[in-house]
Amino acid sequence: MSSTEPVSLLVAGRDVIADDVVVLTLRDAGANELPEWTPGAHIDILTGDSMSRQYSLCGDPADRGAWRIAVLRDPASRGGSRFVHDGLSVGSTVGVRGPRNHFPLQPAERYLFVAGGIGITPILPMIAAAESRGAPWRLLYGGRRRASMAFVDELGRYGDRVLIRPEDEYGLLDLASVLAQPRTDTLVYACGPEPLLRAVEEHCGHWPAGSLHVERFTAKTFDDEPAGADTFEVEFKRSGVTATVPPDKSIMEVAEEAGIFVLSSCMEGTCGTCETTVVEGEPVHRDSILTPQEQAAGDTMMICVSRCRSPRLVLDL
Amino acid sequence: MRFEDVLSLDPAALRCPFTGYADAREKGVYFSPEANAYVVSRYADVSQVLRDSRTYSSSITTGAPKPPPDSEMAKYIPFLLLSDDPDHARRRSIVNRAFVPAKLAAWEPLVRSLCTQIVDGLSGSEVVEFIDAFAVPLPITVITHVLGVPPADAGRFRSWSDQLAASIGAHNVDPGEVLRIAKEFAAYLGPLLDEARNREQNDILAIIAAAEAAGELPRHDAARFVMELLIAGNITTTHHLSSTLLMLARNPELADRYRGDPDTIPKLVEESLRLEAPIQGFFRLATADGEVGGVKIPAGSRVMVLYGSANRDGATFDDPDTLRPERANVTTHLAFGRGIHACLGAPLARMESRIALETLLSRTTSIELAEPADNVEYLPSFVNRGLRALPLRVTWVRS
Ligand code: HEM
Ligand code: FES
Repeated sequence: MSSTEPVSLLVAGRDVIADDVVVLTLRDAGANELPEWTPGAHIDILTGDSMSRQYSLCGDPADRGAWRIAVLRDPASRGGSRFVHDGLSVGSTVGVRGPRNHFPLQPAERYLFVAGGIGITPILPMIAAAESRGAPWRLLYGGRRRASMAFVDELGRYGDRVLIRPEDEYGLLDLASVLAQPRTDTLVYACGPEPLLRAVEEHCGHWPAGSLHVERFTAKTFDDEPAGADTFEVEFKRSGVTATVPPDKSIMEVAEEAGIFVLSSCMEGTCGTCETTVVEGEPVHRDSILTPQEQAAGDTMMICVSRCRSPRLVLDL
Repeated sequence: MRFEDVLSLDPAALRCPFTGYADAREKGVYFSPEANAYVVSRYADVSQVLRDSRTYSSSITTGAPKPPPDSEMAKYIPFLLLSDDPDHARRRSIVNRAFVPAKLAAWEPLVRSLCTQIVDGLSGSEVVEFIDAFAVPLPITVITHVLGVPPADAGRFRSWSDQLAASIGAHNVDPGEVLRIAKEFAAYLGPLLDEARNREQNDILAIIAAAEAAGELPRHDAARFVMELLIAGNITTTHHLSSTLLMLARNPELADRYRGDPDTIPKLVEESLRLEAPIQGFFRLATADGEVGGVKIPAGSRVMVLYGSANRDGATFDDPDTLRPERANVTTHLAFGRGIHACLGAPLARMESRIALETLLSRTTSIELAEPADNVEYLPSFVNRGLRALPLRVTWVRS
C-alpha cells in the first residue's frame, strides 16, 4: 500500500526540456530509498496553498533513489504549475504524498499508447515496461508544436514504433486509422487533454469492453462548441410532447419548459440523478459517469449535459 | 431584519430567516464581518460559485477552519464534502454509481416496509412526537441497510451522528470533543471494514472495503468515508421530513389534495425542499481572485453560499415564498447544492421522502399540530434548518 502521509523531498534536478515543460528530479534528503511504484502511478505535490496537484511519475521504477516528474506551465492554473515552475529550484524541498496508481498497466499481448501533450508522462514508464516484457507496442503522440512536446529525443531510440505527430505539421491525431481495427489482444492506454480522451473513447466504441484505459484527473470539461451542439428534436415519449433543443439549451431545460418533471442535482453530468432511458436516437455523451462501453451502448444518457447527433431523439420521459 | 440576525441565532430569526435573506439579496454580494465571509444570496450567484469549484474550494464547506494537513483532526474530517478536485472526483467515483436512482430503486421495497412498520407502531397514538417517532429513525435505519452496517447499531450511529452534525453552523463547538467522537466512530468501523472485504454482496461498505484492499484508500480514509455516508443524510432528511409535515399540518387542504393524488407527491417534496432547505447555507474558500455578481472577491476570502436564499429568489422562482408544486422549474432549487459536490444522497432522500409521505397520508385522515403554531422552535444553527420538536395530533385510518 502507498503512503499517504506527506514527506519532504529534495529537488535534486530541474531542467526545461520543452517549451513550458520542466522536469524535476526528486530525492530523499537523507539519500534513503523512495517507495516503490509501478508505471501509471502519480504523486501529489503539496503546492503550499494547502492544496495538492497530481503528477505522473515518468522516470524508471527500478531507480529507487530518484523520482522524475514533468510539469507543464498552465497559464490558467490555480497555482499548481505556477508553484512548481516559479517556486521550486534545485535545493528546494517540497511536500509529496504517494505514490498511488489509478492507471496501472495491465498484462496484455500488445499495447497501443496514445498521448497528447504532457499526457506523455505516465506513458513513458509504461512503454519501458512493455518493452521489457517483450510485448509489441506502438505510441501515437500528439502535441501543438514539436518544440512543445516533451521527451521527443528520449523516444527517438524506439524508432518507428513511435509516431510523433505535432498538430502544426500533421493536423489532429489520426485516431481513426490506428483504432479502426478492434483487437482482442491489445489494450489501449490514453492520457492527454480532455478533447483527445473523448475522441479516443469515441473511436474505441467498437473495441471489446475493457480495452480502453484513460487517465483522467478531474471531471470532464467541455468546450463551448462541442460536437453535437446543433439543434435537434426531442420526443418525450411518456409525456407525449415533442420539442426542439436549440444549441444554447440543454435537454433538461427544454423538458422543464415543457412542464415535464425531471429530477436533477449537479447539472453538469457528475451526479447521475438525471439518467434517462434512450428509446431512439444517437446520444452524444458529455457526462463523467457512464463508462465508455455504456456510452457507446447509448441505452441511457444524462440529459443535463448530453446531446444528440441524430436529428431526432426519443426519451422515456 | 438583516441576515446577520440569523447568524446571531436569534430564535425569531431562526424561525423565519427569509426576510434576512431578502435583505441580503437586495444588497447583492457583500462582505459580512459577522460571518467573516462574502455573503452570496441570489440564485444566479450561488449557482455560479457552486459550479466554479476551481476557484471556490470546498475545504471549509461547513465553516470550520481547515485543520493543518498533518494534524490528527485532518484524518477525520469528511472525505468528500471537504475535498477538491482531483481528489474529490476520484473519491466520489468510488461510490457514485451506487447512489444513482436506478440503483437505489432496489431499496424501495425496504423503505416502504420500514415506513409501514413505523406507522403500524404509531397508529394507536393520538398524539405523536413526529421527529423522534418517525423523522429520526427512518433515515438512519435506511442508511444502515444501504451501507451494509448492522441496523441493530442504529442507536449508536445516531448519537455519534447527532453530536458531529450538531457541531456544524453552531457556536462554542469543542474541537477536542468532535475529535473524540470521530475517533470512537472510526474505531467501531474498523472491524466492520475487515469483515466486509470478504463479503459477497455489493453493498457500499463492501465497495469501500474493496477500494481499501486495492490500495486506493488507507484505513483512516475508508473509515471516514463510511462515517460521512452514515452521517451526511441523517439530520438533513430528518429536518426535511419534519418541515414537510409541519407544512401539511398547517394546511389540511394540502394534505387532502395529496391523499387524493399521491402520484404528484414528488413535486410536493421538491417544493418543500425549495422552501425549507434543510441546509440553508455552506461555505467556500476563494483560491484565486474572482468576481461574483459584479463584486470582486479576493483570493483567500471565505464565501458563504445561501441555498435557502437562492431558493426564494424572485428572479428565478415566481411568487417565491408561496408553495406552488406545479411550478415548471420545481426541481431546480439548490437544496441539494449544484455542481461537483451536489448531494450524493439526493436520490435516496427524495425516495425516502416520497414513500414516507405516501405512507403517512394514506394511513391518516387528518394530521394537525398538537400545539399552537407559534410554539415551533428551530435548532440553534444557521446551517441546519430543523425543528426541535413536532407534536402532531393524528387521526389514523382504521384498519
Ligand atoms: C433532504 C435531505 C438532504 C439534503 C437537503 C442534503 C443536502 C446536501 C447539500 C446541500 C450538499 C452539498 C454540499 C455542498 O454544496 O458542498 C450535500 C452533499 C452531500 N450529501 Fe446530502 N443532503 C440530504 C440527504 C443526504 C443523504 C440521504 C445522504 C446519504 C448518503 C447524503 C450524502 C451527502 C454527501 C456524501 C455529500 C457530499 C457530496 C460531495 O461533496 O461530493 N445526503 N447534501
Ligand atoms: S443532474 Fe447530475 S448528472 Fe444530470
